[in-house]
Amino acid sequence: MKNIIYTLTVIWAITACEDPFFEDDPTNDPVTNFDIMWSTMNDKYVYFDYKRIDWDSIRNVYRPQVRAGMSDQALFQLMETALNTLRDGHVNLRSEFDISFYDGFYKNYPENFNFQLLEKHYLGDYKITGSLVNTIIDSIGYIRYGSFVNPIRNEDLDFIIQRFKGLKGIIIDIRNNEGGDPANGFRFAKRIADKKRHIYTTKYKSGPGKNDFTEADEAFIGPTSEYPRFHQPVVLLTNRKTYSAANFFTATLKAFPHVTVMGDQTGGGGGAPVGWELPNGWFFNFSTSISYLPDGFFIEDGIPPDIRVEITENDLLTGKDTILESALSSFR
Amino acid sequence: MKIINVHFEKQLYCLGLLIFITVNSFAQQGTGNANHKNTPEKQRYLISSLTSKRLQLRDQHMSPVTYFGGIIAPGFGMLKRKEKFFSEFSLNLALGSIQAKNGTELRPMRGDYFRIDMQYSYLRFVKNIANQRFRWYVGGKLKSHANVRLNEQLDTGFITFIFTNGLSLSSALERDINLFGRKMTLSYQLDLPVVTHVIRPNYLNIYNYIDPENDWLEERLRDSDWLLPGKFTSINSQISLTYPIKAGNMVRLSYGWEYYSLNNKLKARNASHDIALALLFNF
Repeated sequence: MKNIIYTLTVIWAITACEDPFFEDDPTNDPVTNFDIMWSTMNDKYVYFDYKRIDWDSIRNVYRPQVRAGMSDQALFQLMETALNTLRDGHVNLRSEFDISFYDGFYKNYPENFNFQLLEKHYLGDYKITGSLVNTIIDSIGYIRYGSFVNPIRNEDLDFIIQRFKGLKGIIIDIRNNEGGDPANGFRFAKRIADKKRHIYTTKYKSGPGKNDFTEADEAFIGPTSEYPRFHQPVVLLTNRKTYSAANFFTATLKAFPHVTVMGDQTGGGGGAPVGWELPNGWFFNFSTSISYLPDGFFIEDGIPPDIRVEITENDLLTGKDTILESALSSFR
Repeated sequence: MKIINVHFEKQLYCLGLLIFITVNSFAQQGTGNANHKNTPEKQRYLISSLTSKRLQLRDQHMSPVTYFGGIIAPGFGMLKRKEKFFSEFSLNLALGSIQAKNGTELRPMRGDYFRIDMQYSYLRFVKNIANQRFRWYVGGKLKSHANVRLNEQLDTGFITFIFTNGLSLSSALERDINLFGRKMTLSYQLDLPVVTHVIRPNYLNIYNYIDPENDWLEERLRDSDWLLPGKFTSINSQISLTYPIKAGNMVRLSYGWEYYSLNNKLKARNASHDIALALLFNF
């Protein structure tokens, strides 16, 4: 009996405390936070080779500048600078006082979009169906989708398809659309697809090794018998601020021969972003996948248009959206 | 980043196994009659319970630091006892919040925590031991466990989870004691896993949402693993005091300790201390 009591006591003593099985948390100091950011990126970020970035050298440059007593703002600025060497709009750092992000994909390029100009000279008495601005310009259907964050409902698409029935063509304007939920793009693309086609291929990072990737996943999309679709030729308008989910939407529509991409190159964003937390509660996002078109073209740095058109300063002064004008002309 | 003392954990599992064997060895040395005379022929109870859990959780998918939380878990179940065995089914749902120590109001490191545990145990009476004072049972347990955390501040990585389905070995000792003039039952039960099927997010805590035809569940099952102790170590230990009230009904007060760890690509640790109060309705 004594033995059993002893045994129970031992069991109680062992199981009443789990502390030995949890190692201590990493300390919350600038050096540890920088190191965890660096090593997480080192293990999981996907574009080092594609962008020819030596992440070790980035560490060699910035790690010595991290000091134990430095302020949060100084640490944030240092980490922001290190992360921006990746030239990736999906890489950002968030703290309670600032959010950093890379803006090089659009900042040094012509804007090629002005909604006020559109509204004043082209859109007329437009409708806003859910998240989709839509109107008819010279017997051409025009749809403006400003953000993939805003949901597209099947009912919205049904309404617009019905409204645009019999028109010569459709223009879909996703300039300045910086992304959101790709599922909205899939819902839209199914209404444009003529048949099921291979749209792009994706690989994810699957481990910390440089060559640890998942098997290539070929993505397909096609029409559904459930819903009506647009039967007209489509022109998709893009610019450098067409990013992330809008970039994927462009890649998707590029697979269809009756779609023409017009305007400027998209800004890119070809990796699915995911976020990670630091011991100090800051949070950073980064790309985890590479995607390429069926012909092997990587979409991370943007997708070139089929027809490149730019809006000049003079066009803006005369109230002309040259990209939209070119799209309208292509149907005449 | 290494966050877990794996070596120590293996020792824990071995120690648990040793205790399991030791308890059973002591039991085999007992002189008691193999016939279990203390339990009426057949008893059935519906169980309604409320558990207060204090947990700590370290999951590399979620954060490099440990999250803590207090959660409340209502549950129900059924207990069936016969002369030679007892079986128990239980379902517990838990809802609460977890947070890390470094969080602040402007920089919250917090999340919502949801958990479901469903288990069925079947233990057969082996013999009375230690001069008939203890009843010794051995059996197995099927256990499904799901815990999901939603950390809003983690953006696209805001959902992390662990789903496990497994088979465990169970051993229990029971003893009747007299307290306040009433006969009560004191029991201790220890569970150790044999094999466990574990479903987790992938290495990046992301699903392939850029493929319109991707099936989330299929993807998760593809990433799932059957794990043996060492890769998935789990120990459940529970001490209960069951007190008869009126009309054959009973009250059960339990203290439980649970620990599990996952040692594959992205590691996770979970430990909780539970205090549960259950009403057992005889029917």
